[in-house]
Amino acid sequence: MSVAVLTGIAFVLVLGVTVGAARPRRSSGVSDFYVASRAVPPWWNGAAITSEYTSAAACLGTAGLIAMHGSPMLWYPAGAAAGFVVVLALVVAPLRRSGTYTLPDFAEWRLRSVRLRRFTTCFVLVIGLVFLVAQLHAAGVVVRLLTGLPPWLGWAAVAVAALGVAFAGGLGSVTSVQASQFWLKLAVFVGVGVACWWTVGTRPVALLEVAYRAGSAGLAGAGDPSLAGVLAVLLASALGTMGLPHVIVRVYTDRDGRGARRSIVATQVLLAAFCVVPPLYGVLGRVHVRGAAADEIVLLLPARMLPGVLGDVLTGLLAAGAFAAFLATTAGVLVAVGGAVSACVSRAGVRPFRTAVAGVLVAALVLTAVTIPGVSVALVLLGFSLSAATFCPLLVLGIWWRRLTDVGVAAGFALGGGVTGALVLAEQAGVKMGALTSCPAPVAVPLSFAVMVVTSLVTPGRLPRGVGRMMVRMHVPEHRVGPSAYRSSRRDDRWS
Amino acid sequence: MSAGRRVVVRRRPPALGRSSGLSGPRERLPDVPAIVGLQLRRALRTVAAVAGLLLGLPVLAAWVPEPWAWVALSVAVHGAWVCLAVLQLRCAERLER
Repeated sequence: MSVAVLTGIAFVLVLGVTVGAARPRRSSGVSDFYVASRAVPPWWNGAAITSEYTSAAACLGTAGLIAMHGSPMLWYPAGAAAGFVVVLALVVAPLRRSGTYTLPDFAEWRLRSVRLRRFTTCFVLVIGLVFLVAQLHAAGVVVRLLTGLPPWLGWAAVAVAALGVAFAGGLGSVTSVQASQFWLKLAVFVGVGVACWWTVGTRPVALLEVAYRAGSAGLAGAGDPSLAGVLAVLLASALGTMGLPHVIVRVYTDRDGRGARRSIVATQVLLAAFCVVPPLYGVLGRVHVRGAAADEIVLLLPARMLPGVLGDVLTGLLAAGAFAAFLATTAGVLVAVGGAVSACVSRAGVRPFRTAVAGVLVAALVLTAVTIPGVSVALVLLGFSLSAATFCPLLVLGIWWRRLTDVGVAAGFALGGGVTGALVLAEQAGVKMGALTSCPAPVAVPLSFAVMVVTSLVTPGRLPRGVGRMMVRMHVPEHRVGPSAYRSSRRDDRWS
Repeated sequence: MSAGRRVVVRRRPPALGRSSGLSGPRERLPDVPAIVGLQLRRALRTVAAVAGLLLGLPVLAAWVPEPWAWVALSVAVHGAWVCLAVLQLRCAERLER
């Protein structure tokens, strides 16, 4: 089995680096590194977004949770996909028209505060690191489980490949890798799943328990099979999507607001195509793989169902698909977070960008080394919860409400992020306060919204100048403001 | 057609309304509060539909003790997201035309 697995992993990594390295021959400027020259077509961008969104948690973790905890977990992918409809309705076109590049960039532009930019960059860094650690741990699990080699080889393989792609051409290279590997991942996971299903017929579905029940929750409420626990996770997923730095940065790679909207619709269609994967593997895993950890169930399935050469080959294919997922998400997060950090501490440029990317990756590797691998869904859900309690209120209020102030945003971030962190730590320390607190979003998100609104109302003196012009820029389509103000990429845009 | 004397233009004339960074006096300014209001109403309708489906389906499923129904519902809801996304896209583009 080891030969098939190592061959599959090597094929995906070499393919990724080759595709990523091919792009700089066409363009290699600062704009290409930060925003892929703002020229990615919607369907290509949609494939890239879907690729980085279907990370370790979507490919391995969710199916594992369905196998372990039963049908209540079937709703998790639905919540994650719903987030894009919310992004489409509330955020995407105005955010693209703002002409900013990252979430901290938007915070500085909208609230006229450099200090707020630095503050929000810290949250981008934390959310990004959480996602990176989840991918690296999952890579370690694949290598240890299927080949017997030490897990750090898996971390190192993903880290080196992602670094190579990011260094080669920034977001331009990463986009090419993500979009091309999405189709590989889709074909592998659906193909292997259907092959396994074909051998057993439709019987396994009958063994799926269909009931909510009391149960213990993991980190950030992951795996809680109660109705309240499931609804809390769905809320975090649906609202947290809009604040994920690696997802939002893709909005800026479109030509204009119209293109950004179409990219999100393309993402929705491609996510719908991928949505059969978690239930397919979850149902099969519940019957055929007992006693394994959540992230291991999908990987062990082909060998348990089809012992022999065919099982080994299918396992090798799954390992390749899993590494395609890790590479796509790791490279996307690295570029998004590296871009935000480098733009915060220095001027835009290829060298600061590469330095920041390398620094973020080293931090992620250190964190991975000092933590133990858990369920990838739990870490990803922690990122979603943090994002929902901080960037979601900033974006929604910043885009639709004129009276938002920098003090209000800072207070909302501090309280929303603080409450999320405190509830997660309390849960981990054994303080049980029920489903609504084990997944902090239902408490932290309304609190953050309320604090931002109230604090903004009591600090009217902090209202930035030119809010009216900002609202025009965000909400009036490019063709209606006339050629003199047409700014699909604005004049003072540093990135293009 | 007038037969005025032709002159060489040595420098590009400044664009209208350049100083304000937005539309100049000769360009018709759109009614921004009205546009924002329309966009927001449309967006909130979509978000309400998402919230209804997202919170309603898991609750409704509790009364259907059929494994197939749960699997089918959890997959079919993705179709609903696609429909809502396409509908939102069309409405948003029509509003901005």
